[in-house]
Amino acid sequence: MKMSIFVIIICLVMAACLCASAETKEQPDAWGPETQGCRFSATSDRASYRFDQSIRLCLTLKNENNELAVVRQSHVFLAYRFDVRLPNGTPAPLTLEGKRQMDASSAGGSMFGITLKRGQSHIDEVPMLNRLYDMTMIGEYTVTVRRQVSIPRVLKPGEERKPAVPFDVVSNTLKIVVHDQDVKKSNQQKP
Amino acid sequence: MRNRLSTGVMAVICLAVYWAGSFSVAAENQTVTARNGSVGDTANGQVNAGGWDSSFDDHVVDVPPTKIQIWSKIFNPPQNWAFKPFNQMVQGQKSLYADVVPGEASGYPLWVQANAAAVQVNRVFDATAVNAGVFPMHVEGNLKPPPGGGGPQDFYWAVRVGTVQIADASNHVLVDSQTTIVGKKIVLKGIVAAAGKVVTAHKWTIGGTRIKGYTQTMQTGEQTELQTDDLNKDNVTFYWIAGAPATSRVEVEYEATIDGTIYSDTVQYEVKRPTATLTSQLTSLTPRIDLRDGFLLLGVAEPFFEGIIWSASVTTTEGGAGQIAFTQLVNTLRHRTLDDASSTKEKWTSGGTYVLDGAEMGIQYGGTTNIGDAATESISKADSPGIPLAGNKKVSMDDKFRVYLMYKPNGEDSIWVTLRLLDWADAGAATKTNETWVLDAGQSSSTGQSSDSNVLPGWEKEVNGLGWVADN
Repeated sequence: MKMSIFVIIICLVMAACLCASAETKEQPDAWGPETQGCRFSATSDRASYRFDQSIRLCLTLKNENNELAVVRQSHVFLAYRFDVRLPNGTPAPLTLEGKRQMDASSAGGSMFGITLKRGQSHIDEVPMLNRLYDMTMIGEYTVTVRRQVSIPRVLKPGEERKPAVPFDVVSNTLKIVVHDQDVKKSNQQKP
Repeated sequence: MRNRLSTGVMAVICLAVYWAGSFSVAAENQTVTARNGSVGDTANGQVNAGGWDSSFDDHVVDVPPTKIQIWSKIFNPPQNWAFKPFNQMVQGQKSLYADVVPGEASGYPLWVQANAAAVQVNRVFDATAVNAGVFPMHVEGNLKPPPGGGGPQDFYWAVRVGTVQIADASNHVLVDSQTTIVGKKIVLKGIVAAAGKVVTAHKWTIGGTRIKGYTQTMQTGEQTELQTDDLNKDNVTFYWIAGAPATSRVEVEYEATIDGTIYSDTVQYEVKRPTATLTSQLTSLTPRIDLRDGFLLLGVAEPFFEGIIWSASVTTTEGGAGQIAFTQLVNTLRHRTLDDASSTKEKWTSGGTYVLDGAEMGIQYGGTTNIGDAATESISKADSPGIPLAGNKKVSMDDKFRVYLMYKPNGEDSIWVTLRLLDWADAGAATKTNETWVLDAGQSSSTGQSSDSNVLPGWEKEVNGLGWVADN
């Protein structure tokens, strides 16, 4: 049931953000490299978390291209590719819920495109990244996210319309510190 | 009570206006039933009859702009019969033809106009009083049969009016035809004016397509029906989910058994429903299902090439502001052969039932759209279902989708109701041979005409909660 609730939360947040495909009022400070006029940002609501707190990830894709950009909305693991690294630099393993979600994504499912005009952004939130990836180890993690974007061609007279070839847009590398301050205090009280 | 003085003044004014002929009351005529025997020979303000016809409803007419209402009822004898006058009149009764016993709400003026062909009973009351509309009344009298009936015989008539009535959640008695909208919560109460009497049973009979409730979560979409227990209380809560033109007018009847006798009241409802259209179009790509961007995919999630687009237009009635949206269910069967040493075969199936296709899109697929009163809104959504190729040697998908165009009126505890239904499907497979993916023969996709529907989407699972299982 808890897993289901988590899925619901992800979906609700993603669904809610479908309506937010407009120019954002507050733009993130950190962006990944510009790719074909699109930029991608991964931010968290805080710089550090105690190991048992929810790590909220905000993903913003902005279209600065003169043409329309299209992002595909689908399962979180199909819409995004996450690279979460442990403090030692190795990939963070999926949690049981993360594995279940990854398994679900391998069945595919429904998908639709969200069109962004020039200057528009699309925002999704992953309300609990550490429910998908094991981030219980103390230290500094890095998170980089990729998202596929396609830019439909502007047709010349007589030219046949064809689907665009999607390309990856990469976010900035976000640093997240996980600490255990309260645990240390608790340990000190033990004999 | 606090307004009794002003009520009385207004009532007198209304009566004066009424008698002066400035307006007329559209009284309801009803024919009484002749019974053997008599009710005595005196109009004495007491109930003398041994049996009563309780099928007579009250009839109330608003007098705008005041809150004064006039209740009026005209009783007629059976054809060729006549009302027979009493020999005596006591207690100031105004009619020699009918004995009127006012009942509990006797604080309001009542007058009777009668002759051999008609007995009209009128009462003025203030509609702001909670029990103003509750005025059980007995009217009785004697009847003269048609000439040539074979010698003298005694006949009487006796009716009881307004013993039970139907009120809304605010205790306002419902006296005229009501109007509502599909999906709105209806709360009705039975009001019984029978001081000192024992009410032993209640019964609601509700016409039209109605349900007790409908709830949606990611895991379940569940409709509950009104059970006998729900209909045997002094109040009932429900929703109509179908309306015009199929069942534009429906009737609600409330029965109360009082000291062993059944009394009833009815209310007519006009149930309004938005009109809607729903069309769909499959992708223009050829083939429709193909290997695209690492998926076996119907179309592609990009403008002009989506696997399917649904387009709907909804027009609400007056007072019908709310939200519209799509909800999609899927009956899915997907197979994969893993690209591992043992070529593990697995399937992802809803077992032949429809489950919510909502994990990525929400229960309201891609969100909701607001719609105003007597307004028209158009919505369009798309879907490009597919299955990833990575990690597999073979994949297949066989999906049957059901799209519901839904509407929820504004208002506390309103529910989503279905306006139209559309079925569509896709099926295809691909195989990796010598590290190259090839589309299998036999892929298909289809969509049909949408149909008017009031069937609510029901599900017990969400598609992403299914899981891969061994495919033996």
